[in-house]
Amino acid sequence: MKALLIVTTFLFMGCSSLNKKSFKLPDFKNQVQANGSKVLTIVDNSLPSFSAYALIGMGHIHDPKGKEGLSNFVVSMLDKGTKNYTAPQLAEKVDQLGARLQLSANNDYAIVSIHGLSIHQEQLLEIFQEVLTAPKFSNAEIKRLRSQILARIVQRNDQPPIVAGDAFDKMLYDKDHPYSEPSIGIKSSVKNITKKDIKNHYSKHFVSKNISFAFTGRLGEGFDAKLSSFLSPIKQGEKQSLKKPSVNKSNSKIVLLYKDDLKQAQVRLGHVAIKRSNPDYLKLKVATTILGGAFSSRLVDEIREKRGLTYSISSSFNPGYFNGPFLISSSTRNEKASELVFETQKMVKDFVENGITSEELEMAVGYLKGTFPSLIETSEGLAFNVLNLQYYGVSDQYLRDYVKNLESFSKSDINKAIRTYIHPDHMQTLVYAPESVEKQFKDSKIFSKKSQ
Amino acid sequence: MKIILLSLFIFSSAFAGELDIKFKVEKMTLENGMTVLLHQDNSVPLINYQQWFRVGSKNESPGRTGLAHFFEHLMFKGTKKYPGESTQRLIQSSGGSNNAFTSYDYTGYYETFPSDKLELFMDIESDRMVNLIFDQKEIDSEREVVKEEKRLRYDNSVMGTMYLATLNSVFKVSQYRWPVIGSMKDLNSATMKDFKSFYKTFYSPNNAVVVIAGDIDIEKTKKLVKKYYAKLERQDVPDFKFTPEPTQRSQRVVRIKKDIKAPMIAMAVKAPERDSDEAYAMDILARALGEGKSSRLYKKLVYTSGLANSADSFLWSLKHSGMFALIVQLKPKANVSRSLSYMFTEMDKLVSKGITEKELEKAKNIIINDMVQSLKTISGRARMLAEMEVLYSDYSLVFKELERYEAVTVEDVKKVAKKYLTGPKRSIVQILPKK
Repeated sequence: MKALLIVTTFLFMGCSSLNKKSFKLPDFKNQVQANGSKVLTIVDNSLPSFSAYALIGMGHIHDPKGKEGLSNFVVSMLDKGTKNYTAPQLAEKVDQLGARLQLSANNDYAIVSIHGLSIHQEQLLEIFQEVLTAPKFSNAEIKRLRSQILARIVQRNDQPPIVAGDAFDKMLYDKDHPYSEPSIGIKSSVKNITKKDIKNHYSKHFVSKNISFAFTGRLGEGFDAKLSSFLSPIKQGEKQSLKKPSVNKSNSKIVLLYKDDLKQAQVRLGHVAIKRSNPDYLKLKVATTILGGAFSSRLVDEIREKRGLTYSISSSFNPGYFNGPFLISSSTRNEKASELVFETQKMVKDFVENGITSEELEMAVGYLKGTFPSLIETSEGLAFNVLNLQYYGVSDQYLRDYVKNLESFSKSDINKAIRTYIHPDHMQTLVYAPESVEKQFKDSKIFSKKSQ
Repeated sequence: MKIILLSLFIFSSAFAGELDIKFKVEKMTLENGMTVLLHQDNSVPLINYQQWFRVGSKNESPGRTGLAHFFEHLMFKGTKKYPGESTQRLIQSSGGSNNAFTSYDYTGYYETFPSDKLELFMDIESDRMVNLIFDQKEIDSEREVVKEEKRLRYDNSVMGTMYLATLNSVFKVSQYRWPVIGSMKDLNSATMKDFKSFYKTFYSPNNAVVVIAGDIDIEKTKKLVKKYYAKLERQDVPDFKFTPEPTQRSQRVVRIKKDIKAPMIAMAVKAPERDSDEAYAMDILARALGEGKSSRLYKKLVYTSGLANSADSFLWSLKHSGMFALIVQLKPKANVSRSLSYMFTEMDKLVSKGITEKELEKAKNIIINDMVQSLKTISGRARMLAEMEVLYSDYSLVFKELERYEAVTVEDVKKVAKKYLTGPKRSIVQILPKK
């Protein structure tokens, strides 16, 4: 099939007043091919490198009920044998080039990428095409992978930050919401996944309009011509629509989850907040930078620097395809768990009631403007950012106007966003620690406790 | 900016053909002994600034472990001119981000910031090199922060516990035997006097390397360097004498029981120092044994037997010595002794037969690809330069790395396998579920 250029966007942009010199975002070309796939190309000849990415609209949110973890299973099967290679042969081929083939799925989408030297471009493209379009899904490999995933699910229990994160997601979201369970799935759902499920899920999602591609590095002459033969085996097809899951606003509560040999309590606070497509996202990025998103921020100054309670405390909005959480994460010695929790709750309340200062606004805007070029310094960083935005329906304009928008925000814009999107009355709190912490929370009115 | 990497005549052999990684660097040595490296790349309006000191945990003594890292935290508490909290705010509002790290051999402070802020950042860095303020209340508060870091990274983490136990088993005599983070006891007993003495002893211009990379003008930067650093006084820094480990004559076994579900096993041996030909051969050995899904370990322990979920090996190179380790994350209820026996078999095979030409080529390709990836960012380049200059007073070693890998043959790999991997030289560390 011959690729037909439908839309081409060239971005040459200056980020005004980032610096005395204007910062020019690297050029990139965004095309929609005849089959409906979006293809981003970024030429970067500085090093003999080549990378290819595919973002597939196939994440945990696309997993059928009772088959949680299916998207992760499918993407992990891609290098476990294809039409032309067995799993060991494929591994040998990738490693022999010194390349990196990466497969992953998160809540919202899957990413397949390959990174290597540009002199190996032909072979890298061949491998990339093979894993995307010709996976075999043999019974033996399905059995092997299932055993590995089940083991990984159990191993998650050995990592306190992961246990706390999983337990907190369960607190925030109803059982039926895909964000309530980890994208790897749970034991019962992974055991339920059949070969038929895998093949159906793959066929449904690995279709032209559901995949966006990016190619970066030394692409060489005539790369566009290579694209048409690369894309030809990809089946035509549409993106699947999704039903929005319901989210119930619940009142604040504290849950204590116990494990007795923990040397440190893991603490999570937050509530369900916004989608990535929310136009106020950048304002909230400024807000959380001030609250706990940088080394000089309210939570770090008080909880770490003044009180010495933690090594790390951070606040962020983690929006997704559906409404993701406003989240504060930290850890502290067990005997200080309640101090960290109550002080943080108090500070969030004050943040919402009294808002930010002009000095804080200036600092956060300066910080976000200054660190922006680092996010897109490499062509891979830029490609990932563009693919990610595209998936969430956010225009490239977000990057073009990033600095201009930051500079336009007033204190009242940010305070309004804080009041709209941060709700202390709905904050949920999870403490993962030994049972001995319970006495610290005896005066709290609402809490439940569980053993892991 | 284009980085010249003339390794593009790669056909069947990884580096067959000419090899030459080059980007322009200018070196200045001030009269006070401080070294400054300048690397200009105006493609992005950012500067990466690295200020490293030739001091790490190896310069501590028993009873005072963790001092170098604890002190690194105190370096953010500020000076009279640039007090801690307000300076951090100034750094952020200027668009800068900053952090630091401590290793066994060195300590590094770094910032990335818009290029029109160079003078401000140079003033801050040169000022805290000599004018740091010590406040007891801040030391006590930071002590708790460092202890929280220890709990987070090591005490509460299976991988962290494994790392400390393995290190402690391999190094028994040398200054690498205690961890950078130190012991809780030593962290509790560190005093202001200790910090003042540490600062005076090791934080001086002649013990520092500064790398300024990115959107700079070389001549203007040189003038600024002279303005801010030339006035700092040289101090006598004591010579460091490494105490080598004696030859290990019997296998060491460590078993730790924890409330976990899945066992983890490490097998480790002492390895050669970083700047030796043997280290380059050993790195290739590590990659052949346990890097990627086509490696020997992965095929045996993950793919064929299904005992493990991951199986890796790596070389951890330090200035005076190193550690070569295999780390295997077993599945819950996997047979530990069978897994160990497979690990022994793979090690023994390396000792008796070495690796194949194909494995050698594969490892070299992985290395060159990794090198290309790390050259992509200005900070990646700055960090590579700083490390070589701090360790060997010769940044140009960065450009010779690939040649040294290319020179390694299968015979070299077999020799190091035979010399370092044999049974009595091994440490076996197991983290096992209590139940």
